[in-house]
Amino acid sequence: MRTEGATVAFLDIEKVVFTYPGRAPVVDGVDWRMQAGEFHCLLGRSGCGKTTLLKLAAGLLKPQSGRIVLRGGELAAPGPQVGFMFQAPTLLDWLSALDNVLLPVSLQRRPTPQDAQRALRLLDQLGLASHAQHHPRQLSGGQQSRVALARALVLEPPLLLLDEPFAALDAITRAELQDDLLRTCRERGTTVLFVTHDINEAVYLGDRIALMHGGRIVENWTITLPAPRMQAMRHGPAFNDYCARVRAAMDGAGT
Amino acid sequence: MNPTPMQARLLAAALFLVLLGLWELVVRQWGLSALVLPAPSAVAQALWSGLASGYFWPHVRATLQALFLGLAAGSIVGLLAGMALAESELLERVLKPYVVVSQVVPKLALAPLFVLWFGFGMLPTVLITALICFFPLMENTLTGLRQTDAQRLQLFRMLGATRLQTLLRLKLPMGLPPSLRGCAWPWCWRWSASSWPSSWVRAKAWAPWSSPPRA
Ligand SMILES: Nc1ncnc2c1ncn2[C@@H]1O[C@H](COP(=O)(O)OP(=O)(O)OP(=O)(O)O)[C@@H](O)[C@H]1O
Ligand SMILES: [Mg+2]
Repeated sequence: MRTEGATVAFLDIEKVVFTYPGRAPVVDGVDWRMQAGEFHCLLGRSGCGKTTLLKLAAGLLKPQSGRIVLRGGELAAPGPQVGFMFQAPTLLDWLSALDNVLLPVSLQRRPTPQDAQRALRLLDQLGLASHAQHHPRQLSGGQQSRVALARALVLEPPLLLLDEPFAALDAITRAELQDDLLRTCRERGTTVLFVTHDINEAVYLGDRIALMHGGRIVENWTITLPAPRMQAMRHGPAFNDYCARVRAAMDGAGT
Repeated sequence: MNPTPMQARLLAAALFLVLLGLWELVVRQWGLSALVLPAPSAVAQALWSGLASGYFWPHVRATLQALFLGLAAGSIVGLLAGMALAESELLERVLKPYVVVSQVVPKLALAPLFVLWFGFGMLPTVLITALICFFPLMENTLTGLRQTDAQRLQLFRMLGATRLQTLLRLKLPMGLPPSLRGCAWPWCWRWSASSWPSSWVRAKAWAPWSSPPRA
């Protein structure tokens, strides 16, 4: 599909099929390649298999056929080298927000003061500085999902798999966090696969967009908007043109 | 009408007094012998004189000691057995039937046998107490550990947690009732080390979450 097929992709999903027992395939022959440092958005309507594909890419599910290749080696088991954010926040409610963010660290080794500082900085970046000592019960849904995002980022993994991370946020917070995420990932050279059902968000964030329908990737686009994205672009003709094209494809896939 | 907790407690206390009064009344009315059914006033009097003369104290101490030792032993063994059965399907399949059958045997019926085997000392009492609290603890541990939700298990898998870490840092706290989780865990697991000897000590020191055994 892509011309630079000769170079080794960072993440290579090859003809992957996944079926839950006794059902039609949920992921039905997906091929997708990501180069290092790229930001890809996976778009599609509810129930089309986005979360399942993301879990396959993480190694949480094993494909019935096909394979997932991460940096040249077949993915054997999930591990902390991949940052994963679940669709639901999935926090541990007996730990404070800070300790939740530090969980990936504390499962590897004893967190150092620098780790705590990094976690606090992340929380601060996500607008949660004053909630570090609060427990998940005391946080709103959007705040919980931001804690979960900080937890996915804290080990600075080279690959991030995010499942609708901003779905529970208002438009303004969401726009701020989108810019934050883009900047952080650009600075670290992180490769990101980002699931969303918001066309606007996909066009704003993505270098590429894959449109999923019925377990297949039915359409994909390369977005060539100028590199550091600016909120003002959202009103430009190029941006709206992309949105309209994606929207048309989604409507077409639905019928 | 919904009584407040305070009102409910007062009602319970009042009911207790009424029942005592009835008991006293019945004994006096029918002139029952103290051998058949002593009146509450007689019981109170005997208790008081026993305590005042110091006759009861060594016995109270012995009973409490046996109770405490039995409770501790039964709880620890029940806890460990529950963890072992929860972690291993095979162990559960093989051992669970025996454990269940052993529960059908009335524990008090074992008392004479235990006395025969272990003598009249503290040991048989401790053993019976331990047997009585072993089962509820094991059962509660087993179900508590099994009810961890799939999503959080996936999270721990994603973070590369070992089996022991998953047990100590996810399944055990998830098995606790929320009230205990909230108060016992934050300081317990704060910066909790991944080194397991210390985690192990903590797991043992932490209060059992099951309902108190019906002894
Ligand atoms: N554990 C499961 N067992 C059986 N079927 C499942 C399971 N999880 C998901 N499915 C089915 O797989 C399909 C795809 O689910 P998936 O969660 O991947 O959708 P999604 O694209 O992420 O949807 P959404 O946007 O609503 O999150 C759905 O039809 C769902 O019913
Ligand atoms: Mg989903």
